[in-house]
Amino acid sequence: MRLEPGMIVAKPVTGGIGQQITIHLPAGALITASTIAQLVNKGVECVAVERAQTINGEAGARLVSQYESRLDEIFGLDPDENCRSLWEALRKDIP
Amino acid sequence: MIRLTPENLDTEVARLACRLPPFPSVVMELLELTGDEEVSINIMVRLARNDPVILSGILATANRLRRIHAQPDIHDPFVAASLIGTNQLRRIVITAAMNKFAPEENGAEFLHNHTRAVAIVAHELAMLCDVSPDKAYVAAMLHDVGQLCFHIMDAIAFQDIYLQSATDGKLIEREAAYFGFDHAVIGSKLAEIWQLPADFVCAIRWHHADDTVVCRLQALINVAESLTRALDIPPSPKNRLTKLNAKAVAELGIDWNSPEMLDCFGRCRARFHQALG
Repeated sequence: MRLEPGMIVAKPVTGGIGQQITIHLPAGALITASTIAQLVNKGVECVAVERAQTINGEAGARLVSQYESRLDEIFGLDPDENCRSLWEALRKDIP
Repeated sequence: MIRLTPENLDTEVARLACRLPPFPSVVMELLELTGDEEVSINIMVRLARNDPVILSGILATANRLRRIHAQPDIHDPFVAASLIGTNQLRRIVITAAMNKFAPEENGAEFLHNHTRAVAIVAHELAMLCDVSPDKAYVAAMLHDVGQLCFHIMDAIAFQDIYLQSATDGKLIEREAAYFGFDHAVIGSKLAEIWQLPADFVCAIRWHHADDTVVCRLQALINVAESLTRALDIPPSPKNRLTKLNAKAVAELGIDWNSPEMLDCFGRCRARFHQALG
């Protein structure tokens, strides 16, 4: 999805050149044409924006279940100690 | 096909390297220029004038911004470069240069997409782990370069090996059994022939190691490879993660449950799907 004016920043964004941070947008900021130009110029590749709508109810539960089943396939049903921490983090991070 | 042995490895890989595109020296020059913005822009614009892919990437990015402001398109690469900034410029130049190593044979699409996914994940992880993101991106674009040699040596056999390994993940073992060495060894030899820095050679050589850390760049590429499979990008039944290099995770100071890492997962997925267009 391409960033468009009118979208709302969902998570804080920082960007800059090298180690120098020259742009910071807090969560809740409104994206404008000028903001997009600055974000590109500062090398920001990706911005989390608020969703217009979320998938709830049965359809949402089905998507979560599919995601968890796929994780189980990737990691196996009993991931070893080193993999478990990543597996648990991904289970919390439902796309 | 000549099977690779310890005795013929150097000469055979040197011979195979002659059939690959020459390594773009501009990539290493750009990595060394980090921080010198004015020089970087001048060099990249000079390059862009001679490379239609780079030129169109720079103009397209700049004109996309101008269209948001309802401004007319521009055609001067220097003006465009100034508008989009050195970070984006460097990314466009490096991506265009490294894409020359993307295999084009039938059935190589997954390999190409896997390489791009690892590059994006490495770039994102590097920003959290105090490793140069551009260096991580280039090393990741090269991490499977050894497989290009297998495409040259025996493309059909390599595709068979690749497909068979989708079910049990024993790619490395099958490569070594058929060709004599696996792609990590061949890739590191190629990197030596191209006279890439030692940390690139190590990163390619040990990107599948379960229990070895040689340098931070190698640790990063190793973890990026694993995380790419865990995130299922690109989606494939071959994506399995049964081992994770705990020493590499510790070396990079990664906490999978930190808020920054949870953001990183989403950014990796979003950037990969955006890159696929």
